[in-house]
Amino acid sequence: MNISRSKQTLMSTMLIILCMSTSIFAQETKQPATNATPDWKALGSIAVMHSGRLKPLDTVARSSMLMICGKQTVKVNGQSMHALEWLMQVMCKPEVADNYRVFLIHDPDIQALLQLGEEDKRWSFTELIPHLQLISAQANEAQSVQSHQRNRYQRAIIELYNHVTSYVRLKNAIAPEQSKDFAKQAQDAAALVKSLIADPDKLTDDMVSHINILKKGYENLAQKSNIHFVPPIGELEWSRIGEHMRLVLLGLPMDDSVIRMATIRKAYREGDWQTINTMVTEHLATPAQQQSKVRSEAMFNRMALLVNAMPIYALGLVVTLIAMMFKTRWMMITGTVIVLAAIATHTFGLGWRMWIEGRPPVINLYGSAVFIGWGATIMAMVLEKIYKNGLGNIAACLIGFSTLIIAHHLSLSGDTIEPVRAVLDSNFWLTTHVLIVTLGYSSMFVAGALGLIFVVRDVILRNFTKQSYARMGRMVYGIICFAMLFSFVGTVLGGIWADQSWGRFWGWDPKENGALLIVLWNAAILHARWCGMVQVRGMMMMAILGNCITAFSWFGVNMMGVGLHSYGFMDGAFMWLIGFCISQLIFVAIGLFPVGQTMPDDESNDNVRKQKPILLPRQD
Amino acid sequence: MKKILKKFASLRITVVVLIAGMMLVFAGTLAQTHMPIREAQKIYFQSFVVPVYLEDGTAIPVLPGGYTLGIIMVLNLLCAYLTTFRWTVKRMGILIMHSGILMLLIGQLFTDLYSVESYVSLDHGQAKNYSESFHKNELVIIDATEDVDKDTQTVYSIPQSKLKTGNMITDPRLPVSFSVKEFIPNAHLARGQNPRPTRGFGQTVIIQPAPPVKGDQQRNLACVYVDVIADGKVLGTWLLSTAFVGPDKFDLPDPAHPEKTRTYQIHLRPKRYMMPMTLKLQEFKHERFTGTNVPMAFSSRLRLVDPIQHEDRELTISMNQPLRYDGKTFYQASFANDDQTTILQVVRNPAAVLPYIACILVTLGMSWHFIAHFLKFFNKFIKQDTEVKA
Repeated sequence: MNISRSKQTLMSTMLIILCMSTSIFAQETKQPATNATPDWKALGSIAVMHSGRLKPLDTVARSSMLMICGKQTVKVNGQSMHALEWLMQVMCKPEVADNYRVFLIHDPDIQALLQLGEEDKRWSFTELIPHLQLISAQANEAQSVQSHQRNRYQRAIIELYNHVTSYVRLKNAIAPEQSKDFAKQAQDAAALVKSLIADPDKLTDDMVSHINILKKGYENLAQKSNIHFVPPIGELEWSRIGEHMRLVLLGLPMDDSVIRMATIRKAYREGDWQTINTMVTEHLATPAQQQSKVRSEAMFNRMALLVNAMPIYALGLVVTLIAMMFKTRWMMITGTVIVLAAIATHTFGLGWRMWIEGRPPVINLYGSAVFIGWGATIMAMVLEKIYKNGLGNIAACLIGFSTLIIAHHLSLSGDTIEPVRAVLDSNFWLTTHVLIVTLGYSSMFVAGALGLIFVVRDVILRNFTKQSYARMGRMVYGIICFAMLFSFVGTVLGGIWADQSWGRFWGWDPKENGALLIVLWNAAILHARWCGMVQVRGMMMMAILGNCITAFSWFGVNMMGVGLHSYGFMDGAFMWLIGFCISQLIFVAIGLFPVGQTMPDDESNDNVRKQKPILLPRQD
Repeated sequence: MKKILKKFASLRITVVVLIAGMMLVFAGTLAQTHMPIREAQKIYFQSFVVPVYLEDGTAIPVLPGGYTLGIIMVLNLLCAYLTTFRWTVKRMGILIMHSGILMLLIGQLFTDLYSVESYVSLDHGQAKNYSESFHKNELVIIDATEDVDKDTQTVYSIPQSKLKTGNMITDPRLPVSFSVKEFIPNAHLARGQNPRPTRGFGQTVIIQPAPPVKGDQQRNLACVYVDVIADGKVLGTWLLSTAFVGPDKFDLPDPAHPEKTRTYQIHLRPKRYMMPMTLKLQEFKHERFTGTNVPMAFSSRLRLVDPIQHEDRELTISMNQPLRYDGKTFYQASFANDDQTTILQVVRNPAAVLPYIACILVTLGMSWHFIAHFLKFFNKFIKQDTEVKA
């Protein structure tokens, strides 16, 4: 019996690992046919400084595209184009890229303002050109309102304005958008300055005005771009190409990176992949490009572990459900192994991201989504280890999958690895307070997920035995105890951090109140259970309501946009939050529907059948 | 008696109070979208009942306030320990946990009652020996005659709470009396001829009463029209405002030397809290991430001079690294004026240490209780598991 079980486990494990690794690593090992296409992998690995962080060009491409377009790829003439290719088009062939429909405009008021019609949600830059002045005027108007007092339209127009600005900045990242051969122009400028330094007497009035024109152009270019391609030189930090060229006019020797990037741009315009690949290889060989974290990040982006974990969770859920339906042992084992594989992928992604950031995993909402899911799946698998009834698998898959979906949607707001604001810059507190509070959220969601499973089994499937009923009660009780411990300790540590940096332990700030709500709710559940106000079923219903409270504490307070903690401000998800809470309430309503079996909450109490309504005090 | 106590000790009361607490916290959080935190705090948490106002102004209590719930919770807890609690070693975890929670509640009460928050705003090179209140103002009158040493001036301060429209302020210690003609809690100011004041700078300022500010970052600009009365004679009407940078002046005959006059300053200004030491801003540093506006770090280099303690030293206050001195804590809170001005938050909280002890107690107690439970459960489970296998 035992042997066959371990054999089964081994077999399914090997099979799944094989499948996973082939699918994930296939992309990595695929060698591009030399010079038939640009070497995207190498291009994407180029290190640049962008919004305060050194990152691969690939990240710039992905985060810009997600932000502007809301998608990972863009459809061009029926073919999908990946983010990096799109970025190259924008930087090198802006006149073509302008026609791609990438600008996501879903606010009806803006559609009406621009008279865009409703047949499509995405618009091209060319289509927006006639409206640019209007957009900028409206955004300016909206910006005069304080950020948390803006209405939906005002936020949307500012967002659109920011997207247009970032797009224009990408167009001018390497060279002025209308320039055809910037490499030659830059070389000429550098040569001219060099010759003038060698022999200042040659300077004529024509040259002065020429240099002045160049200077204006470079200043303009510097202002219009925000990717810092030129590596640090001496005391200078990473700089934009325009900034660097302005200094070249003042006598600074020109860095080769300018020529290389400009050549890549020209070659891309001409479809000369060979030159691009040579230039990229040369560029990546320079000392400033030897950034192992940046290269690793490019690979991390390509492998997209946190996205790929989603289908594995879904598969795990399906297999476990089938196994439960048919009560097949080997399928259950396979299901568990698939879930473990998903968790492994999730864990690997989380750890890799942490290493790239050099920070504890939660520094923004995106990180919290990934980490809450991770913590919950681990807890659910501990339950699975103890009870081996498939419920842990289901809870793990439900939470793992949905938190990663949430994380994916959060990533639409831009680069998810962002610089940490001064107030949060304390790895000690980020590790202790934030992680513990987040684990509190995780355990609340595990308890809530088990509550949902309880409702399905009790009211819809009606397949509880006395033993499994009581067992499930114990599972949720245990998890709630942990949720209580984590949320209390985490909240209190937060108070201590606040006392250390703001001078008060508790300030009734929305985020603090959100955490307090969870603590109070856990305390209420536990006390209600101890005094017999609720039985197993009542506790389950309270655990499901806990989902709403946790979701409010996690997101709702950010949507309010007030208070010291409102660094994670977000829009648009409000309806989702409301929808989620309503769905949970529906489950509670179903759960309270008196059709399910009512079991004694204690196995030793077999003969005491309780037919009394739930959520009412037990009469002793 | 015991029966009543037992009734009070019921866990059901605990559950009801906890849920009422949640409703209160939820309401108090939502309220912050349309009022400043401190206001919401006062209405919801530092109160006995939370009223809702109908259109005609009648108040209907809808929720018990923070103080009420706190008191019930404490009573409930104490009663439980007096009556139903079984004093066994196994239950010590619960006892420790609850004593921590008691301390947390008491600590919060003490903080509400006794902590004082203020700020010091220092320009580059500026030195101050006082901090200012965020929201409270004071009307001061200072004898600024030339023969008075600037460092030992007597400042008479009248708190804002006394400046009610129609109030008469007289005190034998004051050189003059004030008759408050009108107090305006918040106003917009503009340049222009104002006929109402007969003396002072206020004659050239027009004020427009405004509703109180909503945000936590803004400050009301309070204004007051006062008549200054000396020896029963009205000297004139002044318009004073916290928006005015400097004080107004007037002269009175010197009682000791009738041929001379004494100069007095009057000023409506943020309430000041004096410090035994002087803080001088040497340098304010503000680093941002390359190419963004996101602050990476900010810190103030200060010089602290305390003549009584014979201290004269330099120090740095930065995010997460406050200065503790004279029972107060100074935090790097903000900056202004194109990084030329630093703003330090000053907190005096005699109960600051209570939450720390409370937290240790609760954490210890809870871990004790839950982990003991968990281990018991786990052992039982493993036993069951092995029994099944056997």
